[in-house]
Amino acid sequence: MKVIALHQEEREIISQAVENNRHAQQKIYSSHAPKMLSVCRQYIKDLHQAEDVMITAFMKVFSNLKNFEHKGSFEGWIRRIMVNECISFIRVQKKVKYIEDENYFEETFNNTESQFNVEDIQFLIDGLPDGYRMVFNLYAIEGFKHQEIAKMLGINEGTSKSQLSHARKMLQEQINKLKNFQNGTE
Amino acid sequence: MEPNKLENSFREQLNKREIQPSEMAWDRLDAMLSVAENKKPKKRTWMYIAASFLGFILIGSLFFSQSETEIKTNNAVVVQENTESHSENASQEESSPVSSSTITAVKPNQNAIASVTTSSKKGSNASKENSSISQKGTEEVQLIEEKAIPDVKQNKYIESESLLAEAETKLQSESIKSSVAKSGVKVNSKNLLNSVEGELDDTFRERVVRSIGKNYETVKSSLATRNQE
Repeated sequence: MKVIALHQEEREIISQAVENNRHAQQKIYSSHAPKMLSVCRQYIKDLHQAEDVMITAFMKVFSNLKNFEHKGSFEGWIRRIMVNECISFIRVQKKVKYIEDENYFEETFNNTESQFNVEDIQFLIDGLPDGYRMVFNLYAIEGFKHQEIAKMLGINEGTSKSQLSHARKMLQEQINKLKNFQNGTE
Repeated sequence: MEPNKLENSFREQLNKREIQPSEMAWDRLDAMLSVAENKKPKKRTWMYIAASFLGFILIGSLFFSQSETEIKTNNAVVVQENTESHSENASQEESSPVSSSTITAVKPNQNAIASVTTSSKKGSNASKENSSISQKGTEEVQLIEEKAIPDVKQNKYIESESLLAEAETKLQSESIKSSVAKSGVKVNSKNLLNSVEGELDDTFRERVVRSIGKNYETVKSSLATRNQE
């Protein structure tokens, strides 16, 4: 019952926000902004830039709110807009070069049980070039398929796969370095 | 290539994370939203005004070009009539039941008699014999000449403007008469076309006037509600 009540409340707020009710818009913003800034930060290293992108994405959320059909989760819908905005930001800001090699390899990703905290994870992801980072985020974190990623980024499916394998390899190297560093200091 | 354990842990950790945006962020979004709200209706009113303005120009140009052509055609008719009234005064007046265009075809005096008679006969009774036609025709022409003499004398002293006006009224009355006379027997195609052309002009003018009125109303209402929106 609680879930249904929550859902009803969300619908109510959305329909108010469609009518440009600023109070309802602020409610939606404040309930989703922290998570969405986290999403944007995954893609964009600079926190201020990530915040800028989040704000423009929220503008798109509110201007397209009347098109939301209440089919999937509202958060998922907003998240999708955020991700798309991040991608277009990166594509406009920096001309990402994808290495067009179709030879990707099944890398042996050490399934180390080592637990990283969020800062470490973000640090590792930040260390990736833009192209790798985008594909890695979309595949590993957002759970898109290579076909979808290829469409979103305007690249070949093979390129997407090779980008992912490069990203994984690079991450593995970084993790090993980090581990050595930690072991060395301990 | 499946997401492995490490990546799953990455995802879990990242999805749990929340970064509190700066306090300024909402204010900026708020400002952007208000700008977007104010922009929309303003843009529309400007578009309406621009569209109606363009409409005015278009209709105006159409209207003026239309009136110019009208004047030209009137002039042509007047010139024709003038030359006829000088060369063969008689045929013009009495042939009024017949169309003005048939008059232009008439040239020498002898031919004029024949054509006027035949056309007038066609207009009234088609079943009569040829001999009676020629007799009646000559009588008519005589009558015409008698009537025309004082007219010609007057014409010399009448100013050109008054002559033009007279010709214009004659034309109008001719067209009316001809349309009335054609009720039963035979239809003169040229005359019919002329009258239809006049009707077309009228309807176009009406349309123009109506559309101008409409545009005026839209501009008026958009200007009036400009501040309310």
